[in-house]
Amino acid sequence: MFIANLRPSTRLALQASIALTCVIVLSSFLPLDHAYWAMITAMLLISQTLGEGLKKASERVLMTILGGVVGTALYFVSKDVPTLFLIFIVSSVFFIIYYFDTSFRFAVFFMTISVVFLFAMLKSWNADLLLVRIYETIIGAFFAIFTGAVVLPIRAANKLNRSAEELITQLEAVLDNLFKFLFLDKKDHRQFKKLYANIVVQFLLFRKVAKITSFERWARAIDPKDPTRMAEKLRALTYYLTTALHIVQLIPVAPHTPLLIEKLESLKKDFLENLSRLKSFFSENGQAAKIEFLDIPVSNCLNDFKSVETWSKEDYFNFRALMYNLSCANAIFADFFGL
Amino acid sequence: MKFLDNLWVELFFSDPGYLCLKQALKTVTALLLSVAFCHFFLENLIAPPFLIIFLMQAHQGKTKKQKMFTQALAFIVFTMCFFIGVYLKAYSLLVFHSGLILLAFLAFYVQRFGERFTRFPLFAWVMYFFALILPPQNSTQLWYNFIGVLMDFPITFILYFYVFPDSNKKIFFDNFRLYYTKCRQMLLVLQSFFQKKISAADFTANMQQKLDGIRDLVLMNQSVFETVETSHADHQLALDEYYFEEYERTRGLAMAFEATKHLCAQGIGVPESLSPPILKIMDYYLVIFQSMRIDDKTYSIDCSFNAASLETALDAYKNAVLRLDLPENQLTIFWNLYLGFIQMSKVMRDKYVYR
Repeated sequence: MFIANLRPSTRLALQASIALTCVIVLSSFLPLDHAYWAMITAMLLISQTLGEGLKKASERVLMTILGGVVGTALYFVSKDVPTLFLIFIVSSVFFIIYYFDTSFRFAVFFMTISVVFLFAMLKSWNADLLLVRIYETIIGAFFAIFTGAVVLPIRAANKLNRSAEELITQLEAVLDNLFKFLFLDKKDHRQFKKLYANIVVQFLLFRKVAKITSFERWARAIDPKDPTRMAEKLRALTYYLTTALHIVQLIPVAPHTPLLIEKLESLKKDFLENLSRLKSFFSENGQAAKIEFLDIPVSNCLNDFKSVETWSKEDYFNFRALMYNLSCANAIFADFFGL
Repeated sequence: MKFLDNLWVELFFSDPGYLCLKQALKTVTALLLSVAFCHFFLENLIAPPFLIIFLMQAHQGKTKKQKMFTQALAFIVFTMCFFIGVYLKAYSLLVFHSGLILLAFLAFYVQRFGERFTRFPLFAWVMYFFALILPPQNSTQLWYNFIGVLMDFPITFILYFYVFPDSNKKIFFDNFRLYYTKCRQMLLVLQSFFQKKISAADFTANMQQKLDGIRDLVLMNQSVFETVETSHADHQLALDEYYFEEYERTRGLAMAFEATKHLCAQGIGVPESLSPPILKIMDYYLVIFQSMRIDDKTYSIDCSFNAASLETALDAYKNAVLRLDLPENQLTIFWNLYLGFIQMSKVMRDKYVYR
């Protein structure tokens, strides 16, 4: 219970100190010439989730190899030309900072190049040192992943499910408002400013976690869901439902005939049911076989609205566009459960 | 292929507001100043140049005051970490390593106190760690390190806060211009497609990339809006209004793109009667996006455009679609394109046309 309630920051703190202890202990037994490379790698790869750690570790190792090779080549080209040497070292620092916030892999690439030049400046650089740098980085990465997986692990897959459920809750609000809006006289969707902003933020969070989860899936190879594909589907679903909410404001008040109200209510109920099943899909960890989606007859409503006398052809087309977006959303449900 | 595309975008288009570029330039300038100072006065020491790189990145906070506080605090913590590390390393390696582990714990533990404590505690750990790699060789070097580190603070402070300072207001105005430049670029791709100058595949890839860039910018603007300090309640309202307008316009662009993508996917050709109004509408939008401007005091948005002409072009397209004799699903896609066009200027047209 106590462990379950630990905050992520405490978990990360414990992971970092244990990973570092492992590297320090190992370096006292093995003749690691530059153990500090392993230490700094272990420290920098401690990440919010196991998936993120795996992603960063693979990028760190790959880019250390690539950056080391490129850096060594550049060093041999420039070692007798001080101006060129200076340009390379300053440029590598420039690019580390440039990519620091936007791309971990490119930052690591340039970081390794700058290490090559720094070492060359202070002591010397050769192919043996490059090999040492690579295997020490692998040792550091191993301990970062090991502690991330063993010591109070935080799995991205769990985060993904929570994040998807939160996004679907926002989409339920979109659907609810969409059907309410159809019968409103004055339609001003400024009231949804906050809802739109929340959806954008929630979706981007989901996409980020989905990317990270892919790495856990790759490592565990047992998760039936493909997070990247799911993110694409959820993006499309979000797009069609929010576009439908935008279109609804262009449509005049829907006729309040009992039959139409009944049909629209049933449509809304079915969509909400599918969203609720989608939530279960995530909460049950992607056991798609157990959950079936409702095939909603969206186009059934069209003929009823075609005959509304007070509506112009333009109104009907707007309504048709609304239904088109809803049927696209419906198709996404089908895709989702077929994943 | 998609991986390579993403890599390309990450390499060249990951800094829409050029903030990283400015930060990198300033850091390199600070580094060169620190290196020059150490070269001429302090026996070419390299710990101070390292510290200045980290110090230049330690400025988290929403307001200028908060940023200054973070940087001052980071300077004190970095300096202490480095010199305590030097002392402990000289005392005993075991004690030094224990300190390293304790600091590693603290660097993550303090993240619970907010975003301001996510970055600089990690750098503080690195500074302590540098005592292991770059220890002063004698007491003179120790003092030189101290002087070098002390010099870093004014250099960083002046460079970060007074030379091309990061003003949220300025970022907002820069992003405003950048947003409309990107919208224009996206429209130009759309226009090229309708003029049959690019293939469907090129169109889809190019548009998706541009749309993603615009969406990232809108998201970035959302966080910038939250930090722009306005002196007047009306100005805050104008900012809110502008963000909404930006969101609505981006949605319009996405709708137009989505409709055109469906045309491509289903191999539907554009009927001859629709091409002239489509191109005309896009011409008008290109002019509108070009002329968009914002008052730097009141934040009110203005642009020069002929509302009547835009309305006429939109009506011409609408009527042409209504007159088409095509299957209903094809008509719906052309109608969706129309709705995208409407959406692009929705807030603007509400303001200027219908009032």
